[in-house]
Amino acid sequence: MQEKEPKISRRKFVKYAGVTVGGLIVGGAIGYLARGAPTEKTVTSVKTEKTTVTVTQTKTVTAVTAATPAETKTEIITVTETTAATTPTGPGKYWTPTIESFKKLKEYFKGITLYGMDYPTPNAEAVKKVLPEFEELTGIHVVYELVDFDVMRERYTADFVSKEGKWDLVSWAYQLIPEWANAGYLVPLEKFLNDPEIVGPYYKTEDLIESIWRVQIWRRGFTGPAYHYMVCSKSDLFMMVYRKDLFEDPKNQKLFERRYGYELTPPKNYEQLLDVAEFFTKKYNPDSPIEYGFIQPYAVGDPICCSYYPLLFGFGTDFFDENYYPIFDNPAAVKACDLLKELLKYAPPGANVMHYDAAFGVYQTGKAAIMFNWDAFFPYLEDPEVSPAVAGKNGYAPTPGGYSFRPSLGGWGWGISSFSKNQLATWKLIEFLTHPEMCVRLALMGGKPGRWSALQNPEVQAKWPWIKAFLESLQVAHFRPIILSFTEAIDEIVGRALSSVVLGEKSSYEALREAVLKVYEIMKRNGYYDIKPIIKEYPPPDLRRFV
Amino acid sequence: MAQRLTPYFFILPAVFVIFIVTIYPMLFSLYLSFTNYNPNIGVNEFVGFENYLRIVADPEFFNAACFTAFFTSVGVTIEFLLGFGIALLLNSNLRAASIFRLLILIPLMVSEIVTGVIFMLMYQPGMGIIDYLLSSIGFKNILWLSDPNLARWAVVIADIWNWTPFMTLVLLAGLQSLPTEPFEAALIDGASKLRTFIHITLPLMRNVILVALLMRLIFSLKTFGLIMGLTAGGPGVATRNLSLVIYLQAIRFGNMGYASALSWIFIIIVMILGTLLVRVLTRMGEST
Repeated sequence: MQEKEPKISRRKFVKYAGVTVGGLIVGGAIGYLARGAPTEKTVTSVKTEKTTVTVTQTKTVTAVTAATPAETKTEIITVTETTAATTPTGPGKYWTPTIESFKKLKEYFKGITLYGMDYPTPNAEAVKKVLPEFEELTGIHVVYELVDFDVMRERYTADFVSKEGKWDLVSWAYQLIPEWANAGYLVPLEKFLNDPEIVGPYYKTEDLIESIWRVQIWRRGFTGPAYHYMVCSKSDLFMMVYRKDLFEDPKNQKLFERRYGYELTPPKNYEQLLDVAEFFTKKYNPDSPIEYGFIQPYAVGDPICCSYYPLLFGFGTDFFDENYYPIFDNPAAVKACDLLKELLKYAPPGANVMHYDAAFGVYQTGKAAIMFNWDAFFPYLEDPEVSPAVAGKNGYAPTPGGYSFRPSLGGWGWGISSFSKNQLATWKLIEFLTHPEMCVRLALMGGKPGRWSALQNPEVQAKWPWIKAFLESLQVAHFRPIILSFTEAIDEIVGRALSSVVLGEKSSYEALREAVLKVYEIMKRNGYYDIKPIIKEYPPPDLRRFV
Repeated sequence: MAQRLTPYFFILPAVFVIFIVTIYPMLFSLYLSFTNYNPNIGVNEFVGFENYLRIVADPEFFNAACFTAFFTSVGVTIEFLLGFGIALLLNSNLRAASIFRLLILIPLMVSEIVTGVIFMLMYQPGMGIIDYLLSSIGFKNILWLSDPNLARWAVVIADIWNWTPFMTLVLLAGLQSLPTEPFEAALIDGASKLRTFIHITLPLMRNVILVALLMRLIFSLKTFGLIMGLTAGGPGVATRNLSLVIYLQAIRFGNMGYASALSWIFIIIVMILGTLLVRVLTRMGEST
């Protein structure tokens, strides 16, 4: 029987199928790249005709003659800019004076999804709890992931470089704002704050903690207008927590007074700190009721730097002078570094590589009498289920000062990605989370919002025993350097230098001197010494050198 | 004509994927290595060979290179010796060899980062199981991860645990594929087991050993997850290898240009070492 010839040969079929699949792949790729960006359903208004802008400029020229044979002249130009919106006569289109009033936004934003990330802390967990309420009111779905710090950085960097705009809400620490603000990755918040259709007086920017609010400003290219790029999401201080029960024990008080000649109280200066740490370390005092007198993070990088800041500031000096030249190899900074190493004697073995959580765990399990750490973790200490060894036994105080009392200021903020397709919706999310009403609720849930009204609320103060000490410290807290390449210059180079000191590889002066030279190169590379004039009035350095 | 072009049509998707995933990123990375591109700050200028000259003057690069050399040479050597020994045992008429073969695979199934975290917990003084076992024989509170010298060995030990099964598997496969006739002849001639191993097993296994060592060398040089999970490069910078340095420069500091230059130097080092290894083993084989 003759075989019927197929209408199309197998070879041809496979050929056509392959071409079709290849064509679909290429077409799909082209279509994906050429897709239109989804936009918000509402118009993002920037400035209305009603907004007026007032700009005042003053110019001061000061000639400085150097003492060297070659004369140098430095021009310092001070520029002050103020922008003001007119006082609104009535409610704006997107005004949300109360939490309940966010309901009206459903008309404009229903169906939008926003993406954000945060670092796992009690504050972030409190925020996650209120997001369903935001979704119910506004119709905006928020995907809020809690991930590690490095993972956040990787994702944000990839998103900014690719201009994808996946992450609408940018959550980050204030000292890292300059890099992204300078690169244009963040939206200046004045776009919304100065628009009377979007925000009204109910938002009360004067209620935001000023010391954090002002470090969230940046001038692009050093000389551009000063804009806010973030609103404080979490106010932090590096604080001292101590075992109140041990300090108040009459037996310990008697022994301490006999040994050191003064009353046992939470230390207020470094001499007292060393005495107390020694007293509570079994190795140096067999009568100590606890194993170790002291713990703080010492891992290379951000942890050891955070432990160093209050000591450096406490000795009355800083990282940079008013011209942004690194000065942290001066005698005061060296003494601060020596103290950092000295305190390690009273910490458990292995403390020289401990991160925040490991150091926290030592105190949380009742092995150390005093801990210096970020207060963001303190809510866990008061939870008997999480910290059964120490819950209810803690006292809180500012970190002791040396020659000056300058606790280290921390804080995270929320900003908006320049590539977000839903910038107004994202601003409304930020407004919701930083609303005066919401801040009190977040504070009661363990959060640390950046509003005075929330932290001064009697209910909040009654619930969290460290808030009073926190507010006391906030008055004089000092911020970390607000510079480009903060991570490389401070976390990495200074962090490595400090680590080499605590590991016994180098002396304090040797390590800090090397670090100063490297940081100088980075600052030079970033143009700090080339660009004139450089705006120097913000942030005001307020330096005091140790003499 | 159409028939001549047809094969190219079929490999076009694969070539396209390889180009997008491998060749284009490499070429772009080479281009970046001649710039000071930093997406964090927003700078992108052509700087010529500045990044490469910076590498030569960077003490951190040499520190990382030294640790990488130590980690790779010690780790791969011990893994090879241990792996070969276990492979020889499994190749013999061991009872329940199949069960041991399965058990030996378990460390290989654990990812590097998880291995790092597990060992980090095991090394903890006062809490970890390694510390507990050592203290029971008189070695108390050894600061595995706090002392720079000990931390280097701690990383190597974790790597040996994770990758010895790989060596075992590859060498066992090689042993099982060897012809039996030379061994029978050696037995008849009265050769001892040691002489048989040196003069028959090793030469016949040369190619398999080469493959195992070469693969392990490349994997070891680019180890990242294990070190990140175990020490994150600490204490200080004691356990920072080249992969970690490249990661820090690229992701943490945003110095993409410099990181790209480091990557290319790294590729060149790996290629040189790989070529050297192949030549040395080939010459050894020829001489026997």
